[in-house]
Amino acid sequence: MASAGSGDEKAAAAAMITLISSDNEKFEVTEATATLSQTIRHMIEDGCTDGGVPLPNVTSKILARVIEYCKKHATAAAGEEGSSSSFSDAAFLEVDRAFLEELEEFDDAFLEVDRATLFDLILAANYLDIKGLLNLTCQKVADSVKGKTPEQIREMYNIVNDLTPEEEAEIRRETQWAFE
Amino acid sequence: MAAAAMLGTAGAAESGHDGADPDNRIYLKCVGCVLGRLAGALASAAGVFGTVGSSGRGASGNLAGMAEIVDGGVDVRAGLGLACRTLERSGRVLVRVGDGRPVSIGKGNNLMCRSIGSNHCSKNPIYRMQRPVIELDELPEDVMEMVFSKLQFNEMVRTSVLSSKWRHMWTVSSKLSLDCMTICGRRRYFCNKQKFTQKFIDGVNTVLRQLCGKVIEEIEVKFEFDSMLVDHLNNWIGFAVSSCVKNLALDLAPAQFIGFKDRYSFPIELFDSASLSRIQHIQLSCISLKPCSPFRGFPNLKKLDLHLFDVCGMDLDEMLSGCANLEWLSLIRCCVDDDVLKVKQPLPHLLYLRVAHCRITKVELRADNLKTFVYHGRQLPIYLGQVNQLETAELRIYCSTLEYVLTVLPDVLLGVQNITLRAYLPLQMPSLLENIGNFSQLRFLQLLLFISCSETDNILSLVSFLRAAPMIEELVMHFDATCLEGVAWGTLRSLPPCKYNYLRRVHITGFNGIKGQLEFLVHIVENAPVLKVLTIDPRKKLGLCNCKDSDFWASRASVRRELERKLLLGTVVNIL
Repeated sequence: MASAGSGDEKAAAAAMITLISSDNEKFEVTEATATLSQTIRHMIEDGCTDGGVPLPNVTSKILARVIEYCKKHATAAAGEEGSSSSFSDAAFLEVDRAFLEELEEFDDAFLEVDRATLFDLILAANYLDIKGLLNLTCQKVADSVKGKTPEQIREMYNIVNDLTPEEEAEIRRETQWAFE
Repeated sequence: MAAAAMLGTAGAAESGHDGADPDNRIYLKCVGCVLGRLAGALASAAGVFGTVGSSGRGASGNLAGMAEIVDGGVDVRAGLGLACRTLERSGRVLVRVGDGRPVSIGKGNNLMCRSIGSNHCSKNPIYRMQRPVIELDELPEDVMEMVFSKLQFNEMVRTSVLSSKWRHMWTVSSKLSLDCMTICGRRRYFCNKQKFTQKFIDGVNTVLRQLCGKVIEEIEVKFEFDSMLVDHLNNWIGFAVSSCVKNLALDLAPAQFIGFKDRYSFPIELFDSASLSRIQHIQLSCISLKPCSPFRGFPNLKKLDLHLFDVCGMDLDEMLSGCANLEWLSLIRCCVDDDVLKVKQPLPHLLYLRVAHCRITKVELRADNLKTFVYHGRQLPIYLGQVNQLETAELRIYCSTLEYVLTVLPDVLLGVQNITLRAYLPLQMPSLLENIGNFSQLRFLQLLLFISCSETDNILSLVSFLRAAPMIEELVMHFDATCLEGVAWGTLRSLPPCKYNYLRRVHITGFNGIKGQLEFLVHIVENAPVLKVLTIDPRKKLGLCNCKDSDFWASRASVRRELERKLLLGTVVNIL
């Protein structure tokens, strides 16, 4: 089935891929952007992207955000490749640093979303196999739990404590060291 | 089924490349798993039952397989219902993504399928569903594992008190990292080491009891060694063996390890042949190895990191000779009792080798495919094999000479492309060395050099480095020359011309403007016809610098003066 021949490779630089969200909205993205998703990368390799890639698990709202992330990071990856010579010139380092800072700022701003959106982004990143995005979003969840008491975590994430006081005491006894 | 095959293996296909990156590995594992499940559900939805995910990724297929399922003549209503049920049982992936609520299904209704092309790959399903709000504990297990992996161990265990659902959720984590911070809550004991150690032991034992019978791929124990620990460490390694551990890290080095002589004797006898061959990464610190019978190594070991490791040379040879798949090897502060680091069997997969501060007199092994070699220590005989693919050498050599570096090393580091060398090399004369070797592939050279006051006049002799590297493209030099301003220049001396036809970039720091440096600089400028960027920084990157900015004015001015009229038109000069 793999139909990606040499002809396709030549065209690959400018190739566009259409992604179709669950609510049937179409998004045109460059191949470089799309292939941040390993799932889509494999589909492209297998030549199964003609007519668009349906993503029945991702709504247009979430897909738009995912694409925003991929675009930014695809540019970053391209930029890195461009300047990846062994030259350690101060000017180059300066540019790299500025770029990384910008990327970090982008990521921070990108994560300013409500919880439901964050979880949707996690599921989409997981489904589309976008390593960077999954890492970023899971880190955000982990950070939100850090340093919180169990009560705070329960409240934050609507977790109903169905343990009996005896059970809870037992768990706390077993894991006492972790609470110190 | 095509979709199933493709999805199921999409993650797995990548995992081979990035085995060394733990985050990535876990991530890929979970993706493979999620996609596998998803694929499984799709297959069941279509009424196709087969070996999900067992075919290679070469098989065609895409996410549009969803459309086929709907079109496939199966009862759609039953099909999707089955998919949801399957997922409810096997992990909540599709139920949530595809909406866990009861959905009324039918073509042209909530779920419809429309073909927009003749290619079976390009069918286009449309799902319109109301989405329920997902809660944290409803995320797929694999995602939770990733979230947990980003928490400290104690933070992770604390979640067990949240609710009954959360009680054992953290045990999905296949990575166990046990150190005094996570178990005891602080980095060090204050006065009572015994009590602190006991607390650590009790904490670890509690954790391991809860994980009994689980598969744990990665175990890390980091705690200052104490003889109290010995029996427990033996038990924990026994636990690791029975948990099918793949990566084991045992770091028992105390904060002040210099002069610390205690070592934990590694119980290699606890490993049977199956567990030996399962091991992929090992990191050991403050450990000795004294196998009772000859130890034949870890056949599938990829990464071996030894620090403060005491071993007899013959045992080390036996062990490393039995690690034929080794890709990454580091020995730091290792003590080999007959002083020779020798491996008699070739290590054809070894890509990275680091030997630092080891008490040895010789390195002798064959790693013909080595890419990176890092060495810190005294000058000594080194044999690495036919390392024609060597990309990078990072060397920090004590008690060395320019002769050794330029006549011996070219034959040791065959094919090297990048060298970073940090050394004190006595410079005896301002002339070229004779009979130097040839770094025939060297493109990048970084020198970090300490130059004593009496030798600053002989800096010009460093030109021999360039003669030994005919292909050099970039030169970076960090000087730590102790003499500062006030040196009378007199007439600059020069050496016979020799063209460096590929040298494009030169970057020098710690350029005080002393005579030897100026001579060296002028020689480069006059002999590098394609020099593009020349950067001169009087500030030191190496060694201490107590200078004020105004101290550099003179050296900047002298550089400018010397370079005037000597520079090629195309060269960009930065004087920082």
